[in-house]
Amino acid sequence: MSHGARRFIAPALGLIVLAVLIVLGAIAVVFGRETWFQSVLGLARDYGLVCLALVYAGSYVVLKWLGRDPLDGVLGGGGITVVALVGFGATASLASARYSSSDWLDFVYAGLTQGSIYALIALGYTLVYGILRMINFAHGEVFTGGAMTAYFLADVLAARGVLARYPIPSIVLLVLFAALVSMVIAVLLERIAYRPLRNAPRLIPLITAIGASFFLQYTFRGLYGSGIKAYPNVDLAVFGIAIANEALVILCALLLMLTLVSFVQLTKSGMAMRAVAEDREAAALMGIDVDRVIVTTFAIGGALAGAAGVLYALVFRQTQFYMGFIPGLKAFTAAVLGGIGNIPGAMIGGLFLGIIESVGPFLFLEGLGVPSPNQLKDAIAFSMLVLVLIFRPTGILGERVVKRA
Amino acid sequence: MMDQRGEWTRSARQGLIGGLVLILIALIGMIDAFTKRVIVAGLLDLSQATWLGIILLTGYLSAARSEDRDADGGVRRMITRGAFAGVIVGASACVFVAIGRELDLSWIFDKARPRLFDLLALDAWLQDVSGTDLRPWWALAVLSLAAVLGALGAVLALMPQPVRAGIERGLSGVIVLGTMQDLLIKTDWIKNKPFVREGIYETLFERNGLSPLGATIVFVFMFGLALVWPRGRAAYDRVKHYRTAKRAGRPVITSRHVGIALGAIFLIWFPFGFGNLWTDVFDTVGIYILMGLGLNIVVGFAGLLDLGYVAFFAIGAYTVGVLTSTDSEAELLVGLGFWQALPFAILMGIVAGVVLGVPVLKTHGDYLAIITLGFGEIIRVLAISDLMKPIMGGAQGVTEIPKPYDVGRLELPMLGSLEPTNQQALYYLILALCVVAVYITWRMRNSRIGRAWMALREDENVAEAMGINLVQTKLLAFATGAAFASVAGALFAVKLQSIYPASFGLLVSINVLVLIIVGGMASIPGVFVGALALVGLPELLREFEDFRLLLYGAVLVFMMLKRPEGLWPATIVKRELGRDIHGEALP
Repeated sequence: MSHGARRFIAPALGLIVLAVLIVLGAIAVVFGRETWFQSVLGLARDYGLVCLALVYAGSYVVLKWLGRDPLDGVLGGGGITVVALVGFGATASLASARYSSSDWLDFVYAGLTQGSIYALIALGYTLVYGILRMINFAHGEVFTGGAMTAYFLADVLAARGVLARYPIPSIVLLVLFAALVSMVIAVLLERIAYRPLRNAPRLIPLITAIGASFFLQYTFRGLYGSGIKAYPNVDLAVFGIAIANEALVILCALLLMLTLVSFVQLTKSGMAMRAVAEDREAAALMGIDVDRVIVTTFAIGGALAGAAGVLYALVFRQTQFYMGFIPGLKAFTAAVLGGIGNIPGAMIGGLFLGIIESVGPFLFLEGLGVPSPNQLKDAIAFSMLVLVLIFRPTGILGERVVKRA
Repeated sequence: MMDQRGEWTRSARQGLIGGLVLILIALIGMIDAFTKRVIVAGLLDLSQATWLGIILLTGYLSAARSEDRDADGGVRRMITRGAFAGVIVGASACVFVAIGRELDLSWIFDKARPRLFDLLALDAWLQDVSGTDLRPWWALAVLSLAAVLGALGAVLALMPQPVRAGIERGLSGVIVLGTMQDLLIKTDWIKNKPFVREGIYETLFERNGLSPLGATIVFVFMFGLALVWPRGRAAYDRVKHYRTAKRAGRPVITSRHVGIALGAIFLIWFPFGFGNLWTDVFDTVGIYILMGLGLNIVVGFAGLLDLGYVAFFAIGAYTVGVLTSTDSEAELLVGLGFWQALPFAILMGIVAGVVLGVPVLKTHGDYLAIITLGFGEIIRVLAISDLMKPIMGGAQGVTEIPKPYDVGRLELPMLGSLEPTNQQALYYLILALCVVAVYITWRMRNSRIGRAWMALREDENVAEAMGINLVQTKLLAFATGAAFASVAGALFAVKLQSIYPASFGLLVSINVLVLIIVGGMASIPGVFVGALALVGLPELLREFEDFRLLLYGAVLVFMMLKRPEGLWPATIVKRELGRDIHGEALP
């Protein structure tokens, strides 16, 4: 068997397990609650660990027999076990019919909102990674900076009644202001912390970025205090029809992403960015000012993060100095999911992660009998990150081949 | 002839940067918080020292980075430029104070209260020092002071190196001693020995801060030491050179042996001499040293950047906590003793190291860092969740963990009887485990395994070609590091006697990483230096707590930019980076 064909064994096996489970689930849903299938599910739940061990052992043997490297068996077995677990959980959750289809739609909607914010932040990671091959760990703090600074503008606008009278212009103003602040932070960050390390070994910029992340986080705490600042409520109505903040956020995010794509694809600066991402030296030889392109990249990424900060604050209504840390990590996950360095990938990855995160606990974990599954939402996101990095480091779209990542 | 305009612009820029830094520091709240530490009684507290220090430093930098020194009349120009840079810092501060007093900034900036602006305008200080009320002319006073200090900074930069080093040491000695005052008086050794207390302490210090006489003594002492030190060092080197040449082949007692022996005696005497406050801090430092040694193996030796190291710490702590807890309300009551639980903790750590190590065998660099970070977060989320609540206690954590020892009376043959307190016993336990860990690390580093790790760090492909089994070597690094961390976790559990998931955040991983970076990657003494500087100091200086992580971040960035090899670099790293320390670009 050729090496190329061998690569598909593990995914194929995983898909087969998943398909079997889905068929079983469909049978269960069609035939209602009191069927033989329920008892099978119950049996599997009672002996869950034994079943998982069997799945693991089986897939390990098969993969090791087919593959060359014993690691394939260990890792692939783990992957297939996870797939089986997820599939089983999903089947059981659907079979229990605890949530109606409108509940599921709500989950997806919430996920889409969260996901479009992740996507906006993820674009910053992806742009920088595409050009510098470095993870800008402090990007989450750039997001915080925009959201927290714009709070004061929002506060003034709300106090003067502007926000209530002209909601759309004020939101546009807020987004622009936050984008500006975050852009300044991102550009300063590049200038002070990253530029001197342009040619340093890979770990050094990463460690610097971690340091910058803490520095910024606690600078915001020092500047704005450690309390929660609640954004004013915005009631939005267009032609008398009330629009939920969530819808507004999704719309704004899509608009911004569209702008970014057209910037990168259509303008001269965008072309320069793509050229530098392709090959920095060659681009420099072609007369492109690489430093300027890098600054532009940081500025755009920062602006998107700032806008995302305001959108986040519009939905979740509160800002605090560490608010950007976890969304930052998640957005990085999203960027990796979509294929880091890949712009459409970051968008798809963000939306995908948002949906998985909001649907996942109820779909995968509820059926496994996990108490209060929503607590494990972050665990799902990070497990996704780990699984993607292990099994498909090039991400969903995976155009760019990541060499020494 | 230098480009004079360029030089002036540079000084102006430095002044502006200094001013912005000052404003940032003020807005973050440092200036305000630092007023509590009086350095020289009635003369200077830490906030004024920071304020004035920034001007001095700006003046210094404006001259130190100038190439004008040898030019005709250059010295005079440089001093003027120092004063100019200082004035710009002062002017930025004045503008800031004027704005702050005119508009109410406190609704945006939490710390921009009127008191802050009074501090920045140096109102009280100028009145104390000059004896007259200078408030109407505060801006003028601040500007002229800034000019003088900036010029002084430039003068400092122009002085010959030994004098400059002396002044620097003297000033830092005064600042450090002044800041540390209330720690010193809480030290048993100073508090309880009348000779030390009345003879030394009370000469140097007043109730709050160093006395002016004390400050002078400290300054002169440090100044003299800095002048004598290089010569003494050179003389010592000559003697050593001569002696080693003479006694070639015979075992010699070197200064290193003497140093280690003295250090050991000091560490054993420490809890009796320094009292509970310091012992407690050193316990924490010891726990971090253990973790640092472990992470040093993973990151420093094997070059695998692990950002989820806290996972193993948590596993050790929870294993010991769950196995030994005597909480009758817990759902799982095992009730082992500490020493019976410790092997399980180590075993769990090793297993976790391997289990979490296998998936990441094929990833490198930043991806490895992010995956491990993900693992750390997953473990923390699991610890809080209801899913693991029956075992790990959810957000309430595990409580009522018993102490590992039952200390009675110790009869020592020569020293009479001793009655160590619980705290002292814990200290010795941690000390002993640290010594064991250092020994293991040291032996491993100089063994075949250690060389394999370093080969791995330098180039994986070449290492593999040289016949190193990558899987085994990597897993061994993960497992050893994890074992160290779980021992540290076990000690953490018995130290606090209760553990909560909140103690196992990403911050712990970052802390440990920072301490090995500051100390010097792959360097064993570096771990000690890093832990003392980054865990010990902040524990001791409690009002810095608010700025601890901020300073961590700044230190991390600064170290990476200016001194990537750390404070006490490992020999190999020093050799590799040696050519780059002095101004050249990094490799």
